[in-house]
Amino acid sequence: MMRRSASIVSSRRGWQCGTLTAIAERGKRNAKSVYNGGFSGIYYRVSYRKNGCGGPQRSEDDGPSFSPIGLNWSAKQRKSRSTSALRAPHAKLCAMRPCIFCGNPADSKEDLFPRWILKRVVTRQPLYRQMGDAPPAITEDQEVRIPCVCKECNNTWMSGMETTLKKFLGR
Amino acid sequence: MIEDFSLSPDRQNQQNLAEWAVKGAMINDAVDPHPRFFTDAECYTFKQKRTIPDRTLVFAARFTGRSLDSNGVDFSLIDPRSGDLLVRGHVYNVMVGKKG
Repeated sequence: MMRRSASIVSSRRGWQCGTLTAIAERGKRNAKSVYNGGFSGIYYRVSYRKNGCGGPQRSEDDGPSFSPIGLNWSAKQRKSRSTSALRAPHAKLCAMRPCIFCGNPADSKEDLFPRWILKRVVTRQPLYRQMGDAPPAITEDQEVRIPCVCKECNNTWMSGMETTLKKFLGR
Repeated sequence: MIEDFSLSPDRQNQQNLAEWAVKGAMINDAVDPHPRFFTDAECYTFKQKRTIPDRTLVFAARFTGRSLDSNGVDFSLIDPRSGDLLVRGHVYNVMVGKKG
């Protein structure tokens, strides 16, 4: 068993990452780690932008990388590992883009139309959406959910806003 | 309102309706690959203080159709002489109607 701590404050591109403490058993790939942002199981540096949009990006080629502890992997192995790590739930959380309202990982989806409106307004027509010059999106299912907010925002002030408005708009 | 009853919203209800509309516009604005209109600062301030951005106007009108639609349109005003970009704007419409 070996233990190692690393603190990566910033990289050349200005992303920030918190202190990472990792505990791993030599020769095993199921290393456990604790990330002060609440994530776990991170083998290499995964960061997201604190400000601005564009979402998180892995940065294998950007500055010093955080490699698995106790393993001497080749570049090919690291690449393979990083690909599989992206499929893991924690990596998926890290790979989310930031919430548009607070910058935290957008781990929730907001309904384009509230469900109570969908229940009351049954048009039986495709939903037509278009933004700017982008091609129109026509969906049969009118329940469109956009993954751009975090759970905290969605379940607190945004939910409260819907509840308040429903009393008036739903009359 | 959704049942097409005639209502006279007081100031508080107008404020609630405007905030809900702006929130919907910001959510829809975040859909890729459309370039975002609202800045991060505007979105953060909206969350913290419910401040509707200065460059934003909200209108409400009666809709007599039967439809659920959501769309946004970018527009630009260009000086015909110099060709300079004068204004870039964005209009977001949400239509909810169960009549018709």
